[in-house]
Amino acid sequence: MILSLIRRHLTVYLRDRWAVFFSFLSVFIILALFMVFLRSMVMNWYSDALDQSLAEIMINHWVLSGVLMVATVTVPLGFLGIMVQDRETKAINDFYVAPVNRGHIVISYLLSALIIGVVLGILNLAVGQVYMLLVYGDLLPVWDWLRLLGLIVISTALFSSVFFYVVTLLKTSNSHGTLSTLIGTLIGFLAGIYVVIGGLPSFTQTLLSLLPTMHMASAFRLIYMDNALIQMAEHGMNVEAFSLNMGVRLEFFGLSPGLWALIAMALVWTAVFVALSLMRVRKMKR
Amino acid sequence: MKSIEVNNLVKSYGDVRAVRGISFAVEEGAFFALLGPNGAGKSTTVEILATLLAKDEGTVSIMGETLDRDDAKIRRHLGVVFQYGTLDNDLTVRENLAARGAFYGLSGQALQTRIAELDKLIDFTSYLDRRIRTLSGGQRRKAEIARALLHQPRVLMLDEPTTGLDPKSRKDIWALVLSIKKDTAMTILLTTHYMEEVLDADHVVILHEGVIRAEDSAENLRLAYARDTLKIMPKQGLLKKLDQDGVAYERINATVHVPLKNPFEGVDLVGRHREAIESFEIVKASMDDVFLNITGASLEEGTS
Repeated sequence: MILSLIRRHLTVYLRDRWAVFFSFLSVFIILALFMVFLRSMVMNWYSDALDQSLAEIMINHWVLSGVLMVATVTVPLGFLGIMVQDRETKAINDFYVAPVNRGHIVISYLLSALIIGVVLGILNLAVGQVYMLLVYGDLLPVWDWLRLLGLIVISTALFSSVFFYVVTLLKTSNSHGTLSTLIGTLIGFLAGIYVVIGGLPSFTQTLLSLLPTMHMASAFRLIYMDNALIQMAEHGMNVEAFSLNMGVRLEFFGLSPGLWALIAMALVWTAVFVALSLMRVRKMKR
Repeated sequence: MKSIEVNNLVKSYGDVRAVRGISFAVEEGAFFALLGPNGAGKSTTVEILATLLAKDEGTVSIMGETLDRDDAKIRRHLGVVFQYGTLDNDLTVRENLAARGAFYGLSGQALQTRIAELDKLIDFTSYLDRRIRTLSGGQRRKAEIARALLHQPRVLMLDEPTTGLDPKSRKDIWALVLSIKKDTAMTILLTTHYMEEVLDADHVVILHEGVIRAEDSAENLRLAYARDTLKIMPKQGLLKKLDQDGVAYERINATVHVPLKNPFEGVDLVGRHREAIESFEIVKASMDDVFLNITGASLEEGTS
């Protein structure tokens, strides 16, 4: 039964081309800004320390990992507009009068958000890799692919559960649209892409470092840039300073969480929001 | 057997008492109508019966199953057509039916067979593979009815199925409702604020401000609560004769209106005073008159 609901939700979402487009709008904006100035700006910072080809790979890996993370935020949020719309138009009543468990109906939206986030995340990863292969002849090792895949699942689960909880509080598509615009606008900052985290005042750095968006951005960069960082170290670069400046590693309250610590925090956040969501679902039963 | 039994149903929204202790029963296979203006409590009653809304008080049973205890079983028996569209605009009619059919275990060949059966009743082949967004109001409503009938429910609830449709579509939908009544053994519960729609019902409940004001067959309600009227264009001397007979009448412009207990009373009166009558007509009481006389309000005047 849940599968039928998921199939319906995903078909409805994918048929609405504009909804899909807007789910990726932040990604497109980041890529556009990257091409217009971000790329050359960061390249200039490190042009003395790195040779051109390594700098190119480094900056591309940095932005592609950011783009991967951003899509795990915006795609579930965009998709969940379907749930808000179904409740606003009362189309959901059509499911409620069928012999389907109400909890299953509500949970089907959460699972659909996770599925579409992961599928489009994989597509996002593949497109980035094809670009890197065609332009730079650079491809990540299979192990990194698998690790990124796992992280896409974790990050999508985290933001699906956060936004699932949030949208259960929304009543209209209008409010969902406003929220999507807000998140879409802020996400480039919340993930340290529009402005690298090292360029911000220290209080802001600490504040941003506490957010799950920054944790996940760091986690994606740690994997995506793993090889590039090793090569950069071999070229005698101060990788530690670079990592902190570019948000590959975070530092707050004297801590600098590694990949596993970031994943553990993501899982805790996911568990908290799934629990909160289930409490909401229970309340939503009639 | 009763297919729906409602006892002392109460529902409030904050301070607004939408349904105030109503009771009624619907025979299996009957065509049952809830008539009332907007705000009478019709949709609230349907939403409670359809397991969508929690009641405050009272008991409800549908096909012998108790509401709140056996909701899943009740839902298997129910087909509901809401007054608002619930189908997905960007999916075709067939895709919508497939998505909903899956809830009842209908898929593959069984689904296509059922769609073909419904086509005989609904005649929707020409737009079965068109997206809902591209359909006319009448076609959409037919698709909604097809969705509600997909799993062959025992009880079909139609919540103001013709509201918002143009006259031609209303006529089409009404013809479809009547053929469902004729061709299936389904119990039909209709809510409406169109008086002409309840004339075909076996039993009519008149709901006003959350209270049942009257219930019976449409014809009995008309006999009990409204009178046919004999409208006469009089010649000289008619009024004097009516006064002599002790007949109550009312003069409206140039005509004389005589309320009748039944049409034959009018025929007798016309026969007795034929020479003093220029012309006449007997106007049947409408359900609107019934509603007006029972509630003191017009069906069009309800608060929404």
